[in-house]
Amino acid sequence: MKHFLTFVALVFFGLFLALFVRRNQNPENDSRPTLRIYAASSFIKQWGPGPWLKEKFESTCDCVVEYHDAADSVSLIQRVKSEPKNKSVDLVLGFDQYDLEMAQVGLDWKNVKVDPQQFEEPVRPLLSRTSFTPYDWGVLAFIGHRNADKSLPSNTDDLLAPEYASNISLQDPRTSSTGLQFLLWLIQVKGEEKAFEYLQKFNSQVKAWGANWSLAYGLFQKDQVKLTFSYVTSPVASLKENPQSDIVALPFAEGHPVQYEFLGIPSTCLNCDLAEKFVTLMLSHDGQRVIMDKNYMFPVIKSVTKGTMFEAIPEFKTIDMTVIPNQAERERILKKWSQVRRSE
Amino acid sequence: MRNISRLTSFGLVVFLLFPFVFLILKLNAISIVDHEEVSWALKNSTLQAAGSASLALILGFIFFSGIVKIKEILGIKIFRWIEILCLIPGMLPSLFTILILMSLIHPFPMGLKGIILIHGIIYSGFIALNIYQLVQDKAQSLVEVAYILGASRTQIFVQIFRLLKWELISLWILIFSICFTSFAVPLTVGGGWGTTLEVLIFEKIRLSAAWSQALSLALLQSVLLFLFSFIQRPGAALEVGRYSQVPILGGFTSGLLLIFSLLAYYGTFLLYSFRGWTQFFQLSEIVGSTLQTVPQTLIVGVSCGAMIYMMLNLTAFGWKQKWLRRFLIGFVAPSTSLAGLIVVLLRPDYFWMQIGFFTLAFVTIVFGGLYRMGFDQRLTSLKMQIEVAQVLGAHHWLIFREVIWPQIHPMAARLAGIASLWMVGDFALSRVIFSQDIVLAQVVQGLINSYHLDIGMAVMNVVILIGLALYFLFEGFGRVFSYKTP
Repeated sequence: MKHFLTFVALVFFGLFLALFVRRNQNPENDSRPTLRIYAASSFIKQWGPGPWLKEKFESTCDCVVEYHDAADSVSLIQRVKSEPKNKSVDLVLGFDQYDLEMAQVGLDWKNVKVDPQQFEEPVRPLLSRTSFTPYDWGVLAFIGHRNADKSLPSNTDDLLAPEYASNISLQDPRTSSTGLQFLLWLIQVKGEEKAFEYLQKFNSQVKAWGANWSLAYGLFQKDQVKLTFSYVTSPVASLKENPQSDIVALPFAEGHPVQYEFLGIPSTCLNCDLAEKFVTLMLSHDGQRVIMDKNYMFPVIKSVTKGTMFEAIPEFKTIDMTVIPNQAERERILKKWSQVRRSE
Repeated sequence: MRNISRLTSFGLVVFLLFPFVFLILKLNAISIVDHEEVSWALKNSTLQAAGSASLALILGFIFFSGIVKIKEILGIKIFRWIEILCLIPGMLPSLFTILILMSLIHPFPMGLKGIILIHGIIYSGFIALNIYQLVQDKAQSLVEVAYILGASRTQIFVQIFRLLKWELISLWILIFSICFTSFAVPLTVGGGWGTTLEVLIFEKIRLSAAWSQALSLALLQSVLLFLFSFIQRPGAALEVGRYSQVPILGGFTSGLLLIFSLLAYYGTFLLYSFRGWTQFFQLSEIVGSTLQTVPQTLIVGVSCGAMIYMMLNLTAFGWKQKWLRRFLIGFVAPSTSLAGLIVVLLRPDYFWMQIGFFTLAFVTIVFGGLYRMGFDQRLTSLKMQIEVAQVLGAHHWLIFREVIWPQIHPMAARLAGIASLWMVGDFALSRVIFSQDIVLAQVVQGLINSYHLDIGMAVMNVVILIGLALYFLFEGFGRVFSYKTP
């Protein structure tokens, strides 16, 4: 009984502590304007770029930056749509190119003015969409371990080699944006018919189609598979954690798919000026550097990678992914993909 | 008093059905989904869930025998730890369980076998504990008499199986329902079998924001499981006041197998998380996030556990309403994505509001499963005692206070402990509802989503410790305030 009561007392002390911490953090107690930003988790976590940007911005804006974590892009859109007018969102971060169509249904976005000359070459075509501005981008590739004895795959056909049978992890295109990129890339480089013929053979090479990127990459990190599909910047992330890391991104002859991350300012924003200023900070040299370092994505602004580990990443031939199949088309492709998987 | 009981029961049903009603009204429609697509997903869901539940039951029986032996040899304190270690696999994120089992089983069978194996292993410990409790509650006399008459262990097991067949069927249905709505495991290791109804629901939301189609699928899923629950029947009567185990049920090999399985499982997990601890202390921002969310996780865990305890007591209070029991046996909540949508639509902005909404959503999702974890059987077994009390003229409140509550309180507290343990390990609902890092599971999720898998595994140790603390808190509450048996 005595132990139990001590235990209860400890728990309640924890609860009290939590209450105290929260009370001290409540932004409602602050009279300064609040910049409400909805973003993907990876951006606003303590180890993401969000906290640095917040601190830097608050030091000059006489305002409070309030981040709101949206689980995924669908929740992000749903949350923005359901916000009441007096609590409107000022800035949204974290759409990829496949979310933009959905984001425009029932929502208006302000035009964001940027100087195209500042942007890296591969990103410039995307600036024609004035409602959404890219703030980082990544090249996707197969990732493996450096192997002095054997050559690593250099095209999609090499992936069919017996040594990779049941030794590749990928993301399910129905539940993961990276998985969808893989499928659309394959269709783009091979043509639809040939891509699905290829998939029939390729499926036996795949050990797991993970529900998301972390599941597929986790299997690779723990040596359950030899190859996985991830970003060409993944080896940098691995080197940071382990200087002995032998992880490499594999350049493929067919070229590589590209993922862009966009921001947008809803037309219903309450602190639109602050939102625009925040965007300026994000697209500044320092802002881009932090995003690159913490998100392991390429900066959209020129010369940011100079003198960093990212500069050493070899240039990967990319394919034009700016023509985006619409929602109905994607659904058709995924249905076909599901049909192929049924025969496994 | 009878009216209050009726009103309480009605309130409970309204609360549990609220998500469906709200979504139907809000989305204004339910729509037809491609028949071929649904039948394929339904077939996969059914096969993997049936296989998983069967394997969990078989392994559960083996581990039950091991638990009895462990208690006999190592005593009650070790037994308590084994008990909790059996419950933890259900709270670990799918990625960790998949990684652990893939490291231990070579070659790991993918496809239907893989799904069944992972689910079977995850829930076998839970089943073993439930069988242990059932035998303790309902089969002691049978075991003692059979033992005295010289029956072999196999013969006794056969008789236990016969006596408790409806309870075991209920357990099978419970695991079937959980696996039927499983998401990440079928998708990752299922290969072509990976398309289940739950995956289809997620696909409809993620790809095309087709909420009405997702709702139709969730309704279909719930209705099917509800109909399935009609198989269940009341089980054997409760043997009041008997709390001992006859050693003959314990198997030395089963005990060794259980200890070996637990050591392999947790050993691999600790090995994986070991590297994470060294990295953890190098990143001050992660230490800060972890420390900040620990007390908040405790708050949410306690609120979920307390709410479950209260609802189980309300259910017991309104137990005379047969329709309530029928409803609760079959009730299956909508999928996490849809429950999350409700909360998104209701926009809880403030810290306490978010905690309140999370608690309600979480309780709605897990309550049906917890109720079927022997609570219903416990209530049913009190029928005779209640009838005797009624004949003697006791009124509703007196019966509840003096007959029902003392006998359901420890179990309700234990189930509340399980709920808070699950809550602490919840990764799906918390990331949908909380707009900032409130619980520790969100920190773990964030870590594994951003190249910090090892650190995520290390922090998971803290999640487990908090889960254990909450479980023991409620379990202790159940023991301290229960009537002492002679």
